[in-house]
Amino acid sequence: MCAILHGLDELVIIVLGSPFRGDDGVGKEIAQRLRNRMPGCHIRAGLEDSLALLNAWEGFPVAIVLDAAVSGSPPGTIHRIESGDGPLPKDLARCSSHGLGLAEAVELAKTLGRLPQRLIIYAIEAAGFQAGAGLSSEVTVSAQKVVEKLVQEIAHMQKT
Amino acid sequence: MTRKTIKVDYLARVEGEGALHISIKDSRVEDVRLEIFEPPRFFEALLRGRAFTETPDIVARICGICPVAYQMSAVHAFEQILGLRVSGALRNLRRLLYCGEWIESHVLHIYMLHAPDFLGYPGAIEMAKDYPAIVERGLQLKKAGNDIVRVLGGREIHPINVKVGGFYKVPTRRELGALGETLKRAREAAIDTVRWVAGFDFPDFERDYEFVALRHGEEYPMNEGRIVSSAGLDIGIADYETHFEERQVPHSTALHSAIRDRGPYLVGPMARFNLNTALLAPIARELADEAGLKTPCRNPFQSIIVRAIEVLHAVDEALELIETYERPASPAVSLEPRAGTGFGCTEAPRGLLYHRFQIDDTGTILTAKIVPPTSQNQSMIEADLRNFVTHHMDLPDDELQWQCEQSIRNYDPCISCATHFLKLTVERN
Repeated sequence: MCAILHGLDELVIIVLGSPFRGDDGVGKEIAQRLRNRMPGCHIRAGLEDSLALLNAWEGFPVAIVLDAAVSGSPPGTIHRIESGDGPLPKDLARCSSHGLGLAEAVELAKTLGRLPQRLIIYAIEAAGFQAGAGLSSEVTVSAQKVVEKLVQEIAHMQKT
Repeated sequence: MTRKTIKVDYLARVEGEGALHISIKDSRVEDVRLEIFEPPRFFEALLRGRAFTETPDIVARICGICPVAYQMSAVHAFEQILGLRVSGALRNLRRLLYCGEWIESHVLHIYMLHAPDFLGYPGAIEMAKDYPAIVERGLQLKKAGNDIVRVLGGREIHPINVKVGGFYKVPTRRELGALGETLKRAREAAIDTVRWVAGFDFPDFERDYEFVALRHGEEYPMNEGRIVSSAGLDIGIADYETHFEERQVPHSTALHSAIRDRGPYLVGPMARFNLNTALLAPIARELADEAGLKTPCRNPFQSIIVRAIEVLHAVDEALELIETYERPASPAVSLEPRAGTGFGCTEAPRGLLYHRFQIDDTGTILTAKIVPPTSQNQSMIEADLRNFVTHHMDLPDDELQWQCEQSIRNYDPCISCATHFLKLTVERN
């Protein structure tokens, strides 16, 4: 897909997951590291539910969603999905036990014509979601890899 | 002998994680279990030893959908201990915040979780393909509720602006004025929502519930009132535990509630509506009449209309509260800790939410008890299912299962809120 980013103002990074539940906090970790590398990124966290995604990316041509994943892959596996890739696996990324999950929110946005022009999802396979635990070593390593990937990807989108 | 089992391993479109098991033997319902397997979260134990002032922020974490309810029941309990009376603009702001929560919670359930049942869709996404404008209307209406919670609560999820005695910061008239414009549009959407859901087909099914809700007498109940029931119960909130009990059941991490010596009862929108119809905003009463809602409404499938009526009431009341708002001189009433036991009972979107706290003279919490609405309704959900299956046994299996799942969604159960852990008491002689 061609790049469309004219400036960081056109990009929003949306963090899902709870920082108090082990690897569920990976999105926040990536966003914090990314903020240090690319000050000026719009970062949205603490959405009340997945439906709030539709408002969170409203007005932004490009949105990057960060979350933990549970798909059966080895912990630390980096899943990268673009909205044009077809429906998201339903169990891949879960925002909350409430109402709809991320996959359903994306599908709903698609149906209503409310997807950003480009939506990229990075979901990191979690090792565990124990309350109060920090990130697992596998997920910590992957978080840094995702930061590097995103720095390159965003720079590439701005150049083209 | 014939035996049939209906088993749903993972209930969709409910808040949290639960399962359903029904077994039928020789055309008789043998067993009905709403199984809640979401892990317990120990909030009551977690609160012990903490300062009472921390409670609103801690209990807000119990639920992402109804955090305001937990905050409100908690602050009222502590204010009772401290002998505080929060009145005037601060009291109105609390009501406004609660209106926001009712709107967002009810609209989520009406549009995303419950309406697909009536229109024959597996979920909201499939429904949105055929009804995009209607789903869009639901999203906008829900956002109006979210906006109230964001402005008054400090953020959209797990609000942080509520404290014992009031708020940390109160909005200016101008900040609330911006909400007013959104709410004027939301009012039209709420009226359309009532008309939309009133047109659904409802199964011919009525139950003789004992409805339990707060009754304030001068306003539709949210934060305050006595606990009343359709069978004549009328008690102060401090007497809750004298009349209601919680029981453990092996198949659920949520406790089941019952009225002592009587059994299951129903809390939530239908109970509030039936016990307080006259106190609805005039526009909500008018639309309830237009929708053909009888009082008392005993068909749980019609709870979707009642929720829509409550959304309209909440939007209408929120508008009035904003129009008459005068910023209070201080965001909170000052307080001094003192030892005591206090009770808080407010109307969460799903029904009565009871809190009891005991603190010492330094304000440290000694004991905490929280009874959420879903655990109060759980016995009634199972009773409804037993009754429904008994009368609809001739339905094909897939249709029966569909309608059983719908029966559960009639209650909008919030399983995450309801999970407790078994309490173990060891007696030594």
